[in-house]
Amino acid sequence: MNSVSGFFAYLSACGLENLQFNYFAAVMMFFIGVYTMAASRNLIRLLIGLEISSKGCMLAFIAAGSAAGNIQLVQALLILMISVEAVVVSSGLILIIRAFRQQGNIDPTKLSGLKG
Amino acid sequence: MIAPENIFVIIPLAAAIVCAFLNKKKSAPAILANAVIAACLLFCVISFFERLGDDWFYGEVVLSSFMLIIIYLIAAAVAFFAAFAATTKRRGSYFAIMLVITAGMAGVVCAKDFFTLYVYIEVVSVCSYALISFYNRPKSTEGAMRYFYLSSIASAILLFSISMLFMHTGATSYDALVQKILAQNDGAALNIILAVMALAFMIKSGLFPFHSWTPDAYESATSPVSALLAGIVTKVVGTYALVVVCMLLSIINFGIENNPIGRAVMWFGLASIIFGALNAQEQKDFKRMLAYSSISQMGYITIAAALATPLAMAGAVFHMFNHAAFKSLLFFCAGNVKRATGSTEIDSMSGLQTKMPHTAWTATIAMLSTAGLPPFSGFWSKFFIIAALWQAGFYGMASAALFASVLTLAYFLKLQRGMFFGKPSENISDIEEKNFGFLTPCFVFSFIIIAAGLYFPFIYDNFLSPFIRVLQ
Amino acid sequence: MSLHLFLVISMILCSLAAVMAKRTIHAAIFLALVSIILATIMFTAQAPWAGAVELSVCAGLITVLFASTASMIGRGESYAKRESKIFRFLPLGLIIFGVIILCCGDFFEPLFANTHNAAAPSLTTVGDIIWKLRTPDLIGQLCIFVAGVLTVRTMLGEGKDE
Repeated sequence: MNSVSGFFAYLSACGLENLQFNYFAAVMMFFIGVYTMAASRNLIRLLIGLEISSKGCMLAFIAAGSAAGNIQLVQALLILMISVEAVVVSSGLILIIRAFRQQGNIDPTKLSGLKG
Repeated sequence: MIAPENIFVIIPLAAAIVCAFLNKKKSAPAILANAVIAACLLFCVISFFERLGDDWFYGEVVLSSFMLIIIYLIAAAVAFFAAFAATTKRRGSYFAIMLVITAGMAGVVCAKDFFTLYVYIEVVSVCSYALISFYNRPKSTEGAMRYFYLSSIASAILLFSISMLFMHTGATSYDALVQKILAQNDGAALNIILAVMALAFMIKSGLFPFHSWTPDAYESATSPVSALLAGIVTKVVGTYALVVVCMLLSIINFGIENNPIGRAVMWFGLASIIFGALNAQEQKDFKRMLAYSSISQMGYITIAAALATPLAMAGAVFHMFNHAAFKSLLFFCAGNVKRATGSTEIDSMSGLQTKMPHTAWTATIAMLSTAGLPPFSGFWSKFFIIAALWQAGFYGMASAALFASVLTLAYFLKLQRGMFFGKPSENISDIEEKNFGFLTPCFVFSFIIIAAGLYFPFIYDNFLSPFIRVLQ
Repeated sequence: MSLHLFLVISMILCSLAAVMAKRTIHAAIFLALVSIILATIMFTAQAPWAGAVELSVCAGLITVLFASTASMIGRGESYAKRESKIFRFLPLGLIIFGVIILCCGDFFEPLFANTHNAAAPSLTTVGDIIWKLRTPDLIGQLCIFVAGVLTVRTMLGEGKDE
């Protein structure tokens, strides 16, 4: 009985102000994203991995900001980060569209031409 | 309101916006871009010499001012070359992207904060994709995609390390990090953060295990773009940032003796020196050989930056300058050869010296400087790097670096004998070089290489000794 | 069970689903869900402006971009299907990775030292911070917008012109 209530106490401690928990979650998101980017040969999936890993970074920023009490600075950084990310993702997608129009293939390792 | 160093970002940006509206004009964008970049170069040099005697002018401030001069020097040469070499009808877009990438690089070196660094690195990356795949050719798109593939992984890692830094220090600026170091003696967490950051910058600068994008990107881009990429872009977004990280690492750990991350980065540098030099021997294409040579030279800069003694730092920064000069010159020569003969395959031609004497001789100067032969400026930086390694007790690494220097000479001699000198082949009988615009940047950089080699004490007194003053 | 814990767990599950989805359009929808959950976390953390931008840009604009790309390269879908078996064991790998991280918890402990004594900011509104404290970043934003516009114009532009 005691251990069950201890477990619930632990769960309720996993709030926004618990830096370790949020950081753990951010590392998880980052792992998913980077694994996808490294393992995938599909540039669309690469961009999805990029998005997910940067979402993890945003979670880490929010947690750090609300723990340290300067959430306003974090808010400013997040707004800047989101717009940078939008431009990067759209340029990547346009690169994909162009490659597909030229060759009908979006695998960066299996296109024509360049040798070893 | 606006800090003085932001001027160097705002002026090219404003010019780029104007250029973008002049898309269909033939010569107006080129003239505008050249004038703006030349004016900024002049302004940089003047402000550098004005601030030279000041008390606060050392260390990082000198580094960023010196990098600004290098950026604008290469950008001016590339813009001049491109004004003649770019065959596109969309000249406005072309020069606008070139101006934005210059603004982004100036922002990278002026940044005092890792988040600002991230924003400007993304600016430079997006412009690089656009420049590599500017011409609508499958090969260029493929080079850009390979660059995108590794570069976005590096960006994700960089952003993650910045969030770790923010979590640890509550701010993202270099100053906050240094104050954190001074406030506490335990540097374990900062070591982890800076190691992750160094990994990201190693991918960006194309060191050995992460090199696969460099030859593709450099080969598939047109010659002015590959001169810009190899000469300055990868240096700024990768190696300059790595130098900053290594400086912070050496501040945290008080030198190389108990600096595990610094030692690991040194091994990466050594691996890419050897790997680049060995792989360059086997290349059949001029531009691919230059790309592998570039990987090797990156290794020299990295090994010296990670060692982080004053002598090594001076060597790293000066080698960055030298590399920018001779690698851009070599890519300009490759562009001249490509324009005259339509190919850059080494085996497909020989004896170009009879038809293109200026290209052949300036390329020879650049190659000898790359290999580190005495009258040229490349000798001094390699000498500094190897001497610093020897002085710090890394005898094996110093010998390996010296040996790789000999390898550099070997592959360039092979290239020289195959391509420029020797018996002229038949297929080059009707080519000629005459265009003033294609040769002027080559002459200017040859002059810089020889002058910096002969007047090295001047360079040392004015550029390198203020930089290393604080480290001693 | 707190709201935050629920949000974070569902965010991780949604991102796993986005990665493992067989079709690009499904991946884009799960990505939008991740964005919406993150925006909710931002609202609960008293960062409403960032939440609003996240909702409109990431959940709105980027999802539309992904969806239109997916429809443009319809034939490219087969590549996504073929390689989805790489990700079959990703949840297991994630659990193993998480256990390893939890076991090394002491190793990462120094990261969280002294976080709470960061200097209090002198400026208190987002606008002030962006305009006065982060001026270089703002200029960088301008640069990246110009770069993005130029990139789109070049890449979607005319055909061969050499």
